[in-house]
Amino acid sequence: MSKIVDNSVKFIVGERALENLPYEIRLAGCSKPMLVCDDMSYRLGLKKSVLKAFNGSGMDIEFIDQKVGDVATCDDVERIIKEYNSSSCDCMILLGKKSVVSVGKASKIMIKDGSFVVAQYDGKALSDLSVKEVPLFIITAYFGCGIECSNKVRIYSKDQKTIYEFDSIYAQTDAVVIDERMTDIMPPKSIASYGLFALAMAVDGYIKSDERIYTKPYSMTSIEILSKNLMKGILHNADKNARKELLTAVVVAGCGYFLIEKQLLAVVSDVISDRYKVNHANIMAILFRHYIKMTKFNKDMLGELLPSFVSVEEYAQIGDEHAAEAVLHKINSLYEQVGEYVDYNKSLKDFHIDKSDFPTIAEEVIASVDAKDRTDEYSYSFIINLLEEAY
Amino acid sequence: MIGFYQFSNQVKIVAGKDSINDLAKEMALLGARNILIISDQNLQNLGYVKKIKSVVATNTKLRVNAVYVNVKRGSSKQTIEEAYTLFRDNSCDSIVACGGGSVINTAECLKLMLATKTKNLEQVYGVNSAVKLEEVPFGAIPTTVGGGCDIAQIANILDETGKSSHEIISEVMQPDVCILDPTFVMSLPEERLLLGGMEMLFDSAAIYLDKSYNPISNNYALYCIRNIVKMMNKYRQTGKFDEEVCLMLQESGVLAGMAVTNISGGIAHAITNSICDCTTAYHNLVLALVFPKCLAYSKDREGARYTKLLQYSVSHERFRSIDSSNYADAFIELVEETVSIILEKYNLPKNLRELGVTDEMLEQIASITCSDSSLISSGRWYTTTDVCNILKECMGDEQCQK
Repeated sequence: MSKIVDNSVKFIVGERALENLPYEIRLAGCSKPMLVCDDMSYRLGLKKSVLKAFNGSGMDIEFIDQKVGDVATCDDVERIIKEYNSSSCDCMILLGKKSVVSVGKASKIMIKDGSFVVAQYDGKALSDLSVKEVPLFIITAYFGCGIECSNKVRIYSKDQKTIYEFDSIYAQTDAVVIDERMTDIMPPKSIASYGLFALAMAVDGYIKSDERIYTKPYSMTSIEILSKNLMKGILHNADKNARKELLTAVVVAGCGYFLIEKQLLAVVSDVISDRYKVNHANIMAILFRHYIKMTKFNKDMLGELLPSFVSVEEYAQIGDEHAAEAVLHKINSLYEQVGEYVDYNKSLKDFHIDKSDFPTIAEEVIASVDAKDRTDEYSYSFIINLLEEAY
Repeated sequence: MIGFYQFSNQVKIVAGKDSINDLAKEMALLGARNILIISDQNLQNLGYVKKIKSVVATNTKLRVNAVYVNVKRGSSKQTIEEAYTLFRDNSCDSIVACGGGSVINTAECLKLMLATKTKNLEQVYGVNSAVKLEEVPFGAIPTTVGGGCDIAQIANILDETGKSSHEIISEVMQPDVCILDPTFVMSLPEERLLLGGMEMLFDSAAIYLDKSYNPISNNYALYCIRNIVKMMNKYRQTGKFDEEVCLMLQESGVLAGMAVTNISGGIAHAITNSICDCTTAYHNLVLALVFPKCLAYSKDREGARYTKLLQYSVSHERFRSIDSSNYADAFIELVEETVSIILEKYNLPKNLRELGVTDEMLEQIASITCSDSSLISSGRWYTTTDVCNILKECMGDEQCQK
C-alpha cells in the first residue's frame, strides 16, 4: 500500500511576514479576499494590523466577518458561505482562535462543493469536482491552535449537542503567516500551556511510526525551537523573537501531528474539551506528561529526538543506551521548569473534571474511532489509567 | 535574530511498491483528461512508457493524447518548445513525466509556460513570480535518484549552443503529484544509486551550511542525512538495492528536495553546476569530487556547523568517541572516505582532471560559478580566486596543490 503525503501549505515566517500576504494572494491568482476573524482579534487590534499591512499593497479586503465566537458553529459556516458568495470574494483570510480556523476550513470545503447547509453535509468532499476553489490563508494569532495545517475540523450545532466532523484534503491551507506582532498579548501562562501542547504534538507525532517520514522533520523543528525558547518566552515576555519562535513551534508541530491519522491523545483531549468546554490544547498538554510514561513506544525512535533536545556537549555525554531515557528526562524537566515559574493548570482536577465521568469519557473515546483504526491503546483500562494519572 | 523565511512543498507524494498504479486515480483527482507523456527514448525502450499507458487506461476518464520521447541529456529550449507544440496540437490538458532530471525539467518548464500562458520560454528565465492563470495537472515519476530535482522549484535549461544553461525558478512549475515507485529505479546500476545517495547527503549538508536561517529546511536536511545512514545500514545488511532500500533512497531524495527548494545549495553546487555546463559529466559524480574540497576550504569559517552534520552522519557511539576539538576534521574525513570508497569500487574518475577538466577551463568555470544562483543566494561570499583555489584542489594535481 502506498504512503501518501499531501501537505502543500507554505509557511511565511518572521519580520513583516504580514506584508507578504497580498503578494501571496496575487500569486494564487486572487484579488478579492474575505477576512474572517473573531471579536478578540478586533479588540486586541490584530485586525487593524492586518488591514494596515494591506495598505499600499493595491489590494483591499473585500468583506470582513468578525462574528465567530469561541465555538465554531453551523450558523457561522452558513453565514460565511453566504457572505463569501454574495461579495464575490475569491479567497479567504482567517485570523483568530481555533474556532475561526475551523469555520474557515469547513466553509472552504462546502463552497468548493456548492453546499450551503452543514446539517445536510457529511463532512467529506462530495467529489473531486469543484464548483469554486477557495485559496485559504491563515494568519496565526495568539499562540496558534495546531490545526492550521490540518484537514480535520469540527463544527458544532447551536446547542453544541451535535458535532459535525469534516475531514477532507480540500480543507488544506495555502499559506500560514507567522508574524510576531500577532503574539503581542500573550501572557506567560498561555505561553506555558501552548509550549507544552506543542511539545506533546511534536513528540507524539515523531515516535509512533516510521511511516511518517515526511512529517518527522516538523517535530524535530518544533522541539529544537521549544528547547531554546520556551523558558525564554515565559521569563522574558517582551522578547518578540522568542514569541515568534514559539508560535512557529505550535504551528509546525501541529502540521506534523494532524496531517496523519488522529492519535489517542488528541481524541481523549477532544472528548474532554467538548464535554467540559475547556481548551483542547491545555488538556492535551496535561495528558501528555503522563501518557509518555505509559505508552509503548519505539525506544530507538524516541532516542532519535535527543539531538533536538540537548546541546552537542550534552549529547556527547549521554550513552546511546540511555538516549530514550534522557529524552524522557528532558520532557519531564521542561514541565518542571515551566511549573516553577508559571501557575498554569497542571491536572484535570484543576479544570474541575469530574472523576465519576471517567468511564463515560473512556467509552466515548473508544466509540469515536472506527474499530479498524483502533490501536492497542484504545482499551478501556489504558484510558482510565491515563485519566487517573492526569487527575 | 528576527529574520524572514518561507518553507513550502507543494507536491503530493505517493510512495511505495506498485504506487505507479495510483497514477491514474491521482491524475483524475487533479482534473486531468487528455495526457501528454514526456519521457526519453531509452526509457521507452525499457517499456516504461507502455507501462504508464496501461495504467492510464485503467481510468475511463483519462486518455493519452500524445507521447514525447525526444528529451536528450540536458533539457533545452528547443526540446521544451517541441513538447509545447505537441501538447497544443493534440489538445492535451495535463502532463505525466517519467524520467530523470532532464525529462522532469522539460515537463516543469512546459507546465510553467502553459500555466502562466507564456508563449516564449525566454520570458520565464531566472527567478520569476509569474502568476498561475490555468491549472495544468502534472504527475512526475522519477527514474533516477538524486537531490530531489523531482520536486524542486528549479530547472536548468541549455541554451541553443548547448554549452551554457539558464536557470528557471518558480513555484508554479512544481509537479502536483510525485509517484515514488522503487521498481522504476531498481534497474539503475549500483554505482548510480550510491552516487545518488551521496548527492542527497551532500545536498543536505550544503543546505544545512547555508547562511540563511530556515529551521524547517535545516531539519529536513538533517533528517535526510539520518535516513540515508539508515538506508546504508540496510544496504550493508542485504548487500543489494532491493525494493525497500530503493524506496528509502527515493524518499531521502524527496526530503532533500523539500529542503533544497527553500534554500540554496552553496559553493559546492555552484561549482558543480558550472563544471556540468562545461563538460558532459554527471552532476552527482562532479559533486562527489568537489564537495569534500569545498568543506576543507571553508572549514575555518563554517567548521563549527560541521558538528551537527557529523552528529547525524555517524552513530551515537562513534560520535561520543570523537574528541570535540576534532568534530570538523572528523566530518571532512568521513566525507572523503565515503567518496573515495565509492570511486575506488566502481573505478570512477578520482579528480576533475580524470573527468576531462583542463587547466585552461578553470577560469571560465570559476567565473560561471560566481554568478550561479546557488552561490549568490547562499549569503556567503566567494571570489573567483577562492573558486580557482578550490578547483585546483579538485584537479588531483600535486603541483597545483602546492
